[in-house]
Amino acid sequence: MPKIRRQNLPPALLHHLLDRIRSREISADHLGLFAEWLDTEPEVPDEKWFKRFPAMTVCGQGGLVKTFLLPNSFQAEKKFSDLRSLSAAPPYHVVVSTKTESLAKAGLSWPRWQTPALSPWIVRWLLKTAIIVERALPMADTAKVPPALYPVAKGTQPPTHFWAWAAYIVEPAFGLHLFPDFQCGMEACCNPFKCMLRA
Amino acid sequence: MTAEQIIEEIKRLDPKDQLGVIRFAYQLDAERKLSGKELSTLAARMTETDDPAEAAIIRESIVRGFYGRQPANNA
Repeated sequence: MPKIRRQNLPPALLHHLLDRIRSREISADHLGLFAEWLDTEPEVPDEKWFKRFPAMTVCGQGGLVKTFLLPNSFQAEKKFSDLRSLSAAPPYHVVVSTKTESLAKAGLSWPRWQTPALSPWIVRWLLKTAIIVERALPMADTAKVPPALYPVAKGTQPPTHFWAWAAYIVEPAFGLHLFPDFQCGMEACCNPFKCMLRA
Repeated sequence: MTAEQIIEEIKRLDPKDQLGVIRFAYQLDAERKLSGKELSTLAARMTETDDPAEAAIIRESIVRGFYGRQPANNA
């Protein structure tokens, strides 16, 4: 099994990561987390592999890091068709993202703005929506919600293995409302789909 | 030998030899691989500055510190 080290990271990819940090798409802490992980000289499979961090997924092949997937890089994710195979096990990352300019208009910076107290609501709502979409379009190319997560969607089990990253609550008194036109995606559970929920 | 013992030895050196040690320490600092925490701190500084020149300098330090010695091998 090949090992990866810091030296295995092509400089262009490091610069790509620094660009994303500079534009605040991901937190500065992730550089340290990534470096510390590389310092453990992890063994990786000869084939494609993925390593999830709180706000990014590192994708590689053999001893080389190939790319970083950010929470809103769903297009890139499609290039790694077997990415979902990793998602069978927790932790699950629930990503409620929007266009950067919309976040900026709302005075938010990605991904610093988070709603930990509302995360269970967001997770439940997204899971339920994913199940509805899946049942409404059984033949569509959507990833399936594992049945083990149904109790979480029903609210009989807490979403202990989910992290919700960002959302904008239009009016807290109304419960959970997502910004109209938010692009919602759930890694592991469903393909990105448009959320057009209105208050 | 501990770091403290080495420092005590350096203190006993004559100024000329101390200068050599100082040069070496600077070179070591410039070439060493930075820890994850140090890299995160530098990255945070890079995002906080509004000065593009400062950001570029910090970025260079991050790249150098990420790879450590012999960054040219990675270019």
